[in-house]
Amino acid sequence: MVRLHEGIVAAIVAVVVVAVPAVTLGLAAAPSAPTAQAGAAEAATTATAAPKPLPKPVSAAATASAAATRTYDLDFTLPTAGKSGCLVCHGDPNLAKIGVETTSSIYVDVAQLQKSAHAEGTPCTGCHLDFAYTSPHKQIEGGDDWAAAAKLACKNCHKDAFSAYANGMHSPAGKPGQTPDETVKARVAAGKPANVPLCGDCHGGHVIPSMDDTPAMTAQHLTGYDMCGTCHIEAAASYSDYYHGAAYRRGSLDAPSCWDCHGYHEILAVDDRRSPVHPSRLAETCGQAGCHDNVDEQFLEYAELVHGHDALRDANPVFSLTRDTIGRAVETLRSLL
Amino acid sequence: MGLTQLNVWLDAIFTTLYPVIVLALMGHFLGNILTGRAKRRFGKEWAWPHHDSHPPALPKFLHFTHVACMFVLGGTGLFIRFNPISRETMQWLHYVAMIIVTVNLVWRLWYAFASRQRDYREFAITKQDIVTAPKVILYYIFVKPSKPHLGKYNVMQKGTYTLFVPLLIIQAITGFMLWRLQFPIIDTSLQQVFAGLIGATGIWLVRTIHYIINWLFIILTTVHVYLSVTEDFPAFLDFFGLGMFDKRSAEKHHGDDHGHGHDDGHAHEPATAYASAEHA
Repeated sequence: MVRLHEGIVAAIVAVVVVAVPAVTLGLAAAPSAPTAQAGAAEAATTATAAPKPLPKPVSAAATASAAATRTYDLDFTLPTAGKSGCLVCHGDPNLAKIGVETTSSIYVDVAQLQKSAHAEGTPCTGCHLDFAYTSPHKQIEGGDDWAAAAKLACKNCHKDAFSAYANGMHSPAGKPGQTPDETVKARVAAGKPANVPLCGDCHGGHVIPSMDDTPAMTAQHLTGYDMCGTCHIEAAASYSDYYHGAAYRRGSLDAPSCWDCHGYHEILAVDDRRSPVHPSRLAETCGQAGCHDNVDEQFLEYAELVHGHDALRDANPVFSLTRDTIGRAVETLRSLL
Repeated sequence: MGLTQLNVWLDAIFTTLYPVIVLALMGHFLGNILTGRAKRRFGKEWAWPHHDSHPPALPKFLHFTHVACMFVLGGTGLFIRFNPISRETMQWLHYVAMIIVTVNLVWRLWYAFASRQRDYREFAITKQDIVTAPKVILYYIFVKPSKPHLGKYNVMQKGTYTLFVPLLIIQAITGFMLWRLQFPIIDTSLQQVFAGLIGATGIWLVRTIHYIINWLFIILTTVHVYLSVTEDFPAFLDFFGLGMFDKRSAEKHHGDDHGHGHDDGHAHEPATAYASAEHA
């Protein structure tokens, strides 16, 4: 269905978007080619020659820098108020973006989209704010990273959630008086990832389930290792105690996900007294509805095991002895064979 | 040592102890082979203890369901603890099996103490049992060729089966205290009710006791199955309704049907060396 743009492929471009509807809409190919090639060549040059710059701060990324009805570079107009316009191209399963090193699908599954919380009332441009409707979509001048813009566009509707997020550790905001660039540099200097997770990094994009969609919410409950563990690798690896981590890892629905203890949106450091996992708040957190009842101080001793089970087991002399003995036996057998 | 360390220590002890016990049983069977017991029993001689009567149907039925449920409970208990798969299904199986075992326990206690057959005396440890206990132990460690016969069960069997009762009662009580299923209408579970009474730490202790007894049952059942098979295989078969696989039974039918005499007449006789030995 999709015809890859020959000029772009020949130039080893960074981005190729080929639109079948260009034909169906009577789009003349000639005017778009130079634009696409220029954009692609520019991207390729950036990807191969220029040193990778620090990511731009995202604090301003979700601000629409162009009206959805701006004049397009191309000689056609898509019905931007609804989803049908974008999905004319993006509803094609074969639609792909060919980069210098990777090829990624830019297909949007309409069926999934229709089941999502945003099926009704949210047009594509409600989240994808920064698009120029050229082919392929170029960053419009003054715009920022389109992906970051989309991932952070949630703030325009979900204001309370965004406020909580902005107060937490995941907030892109720097210290008072810091410029956005200084914030990024400070994060990198502190050994933290330059990029903070944006709304879309945790919640996904086109498949965000409705709160009423019980199966989808149930499935989301079990995504902690992917959602948080992608960045918090050590914390995810050590979340392995009997009734919490080990059960959660195996898909037990009554086992807590990361956010059941650590909270969500307003994620705070463990040593922050407002954090639900701060020692002073553990009784409240462990005693929340559906978890433990009548929590007392002695019970909180168990908290040590939630992320410390493996370390405690490794420190146990019987376990060490058994493991070493079996290890030696296996080595001996191997040497004999 | 805090409860956290206790948790890890219990795993360390039992997951190490169980393979050691299995190895010990394998060693014991090697002893059976070396002393010729295995050959006499499982070979042509088929020399097993002779029983004048077969177990009644009800105890057999109760034993069968009890064994099946204990396997389910032991297995699912470990699954719930170590979570090799999602534990919801395991919890359901565990709950169903525990109800059956609890009903079984009440039924068996009624049978032992209140029914017409009331067989509780068969399990009572007498003074003579205690006096002869060392000889029973010496038999099991191959020092003596036979053990004293005082009743249907020997002192070690009586002790083990009697121990099962309080362990089962404790396990049933602690199990129901850990019951997490929400009751409809009142929207609470037994665990929540008991947590209100004894606190979350109390429930933690209850879980620890339940876990220890779970391992004790796994160990005792393993030993029981091993000794049942190696000491009185025909009785083992009979208890599971598989008496037709007892060679003596097959020979008896053969003789009845065709009127043939037995060349190997001693198969119907009490096994010479073990005439007094009951299955373990």
